[in-house]
Amino acid sequence: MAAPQGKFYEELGNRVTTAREKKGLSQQKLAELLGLSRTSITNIEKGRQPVDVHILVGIANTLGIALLKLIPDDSLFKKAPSSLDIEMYGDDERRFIESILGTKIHTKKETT
Amino acid sequence: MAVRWTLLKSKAKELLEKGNIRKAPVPIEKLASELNAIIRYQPFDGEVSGLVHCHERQIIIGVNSNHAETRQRFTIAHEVGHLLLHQTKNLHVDNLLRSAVNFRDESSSLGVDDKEIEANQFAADLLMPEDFLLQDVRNVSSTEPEAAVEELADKYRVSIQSMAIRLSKLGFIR
Repeated sequence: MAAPQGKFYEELGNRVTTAREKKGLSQQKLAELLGLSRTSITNIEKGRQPVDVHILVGIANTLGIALLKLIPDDSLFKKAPSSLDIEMYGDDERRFIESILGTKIHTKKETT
Repeated sequence: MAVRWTLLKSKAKELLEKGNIRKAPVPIEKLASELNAIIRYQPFDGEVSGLVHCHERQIIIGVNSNHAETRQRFTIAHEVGHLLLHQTKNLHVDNLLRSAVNFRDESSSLGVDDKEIEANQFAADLLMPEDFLLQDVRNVSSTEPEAAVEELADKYRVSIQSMAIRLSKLGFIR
């Protein structure tokens, strides 16, 4: 079985699943329309297989969805920022976050 | 975009099957650790129930241990839901009062509220799977409806309210 490819492909897979179900197609049917095996569709939807660009275009066209709507945000393969952007949290939440993560959290104001 | 009910159900089912879980109570901590999440408990006054934090390859689920055990279990399942279903960037904190405190998330097609609904529904699907309940409802020993809900809540280690909502949504009680 193909190995997980990380969050980016997982999210991409979720979006394919959602679009396919919305279109009312089975994995088998989508596979047939694209000339792929059902296993490939399963692997793509589960994020276990990095999908080739031409196949992704085929999926988007077959499902009648804009290609960009299938592609997740690039933050999923970017590194997380080292300091948390914590401005949107109240004092209560910040104390909870700090006690769980064991780190002192600074607001942007405090760090600059 | 609307809440993805079928996706939630299949993700919960998949996780249960992967963990080879066939009966209640669902060992939610074990399932979370199988996803490589570390669970940390902290007593905390206030309504914050939990958080999920992803940094590089480390996943931390934080739980407010002042809350009842049943609620803590629900919190873990809820955070696992965010982890599996949503593009959890960095940090997500759940607070009942503010319902959802979220990081900036313009790219998402799901609104913040939808994500909370999804995480809650996923938690219910995971802790109280429909096919488990189908069996257990038949074998319940209490004859009074209220006692039956309590018996099931006990068996599933969820709150009586969660069980009552679940049973009514599944059409087992009116």
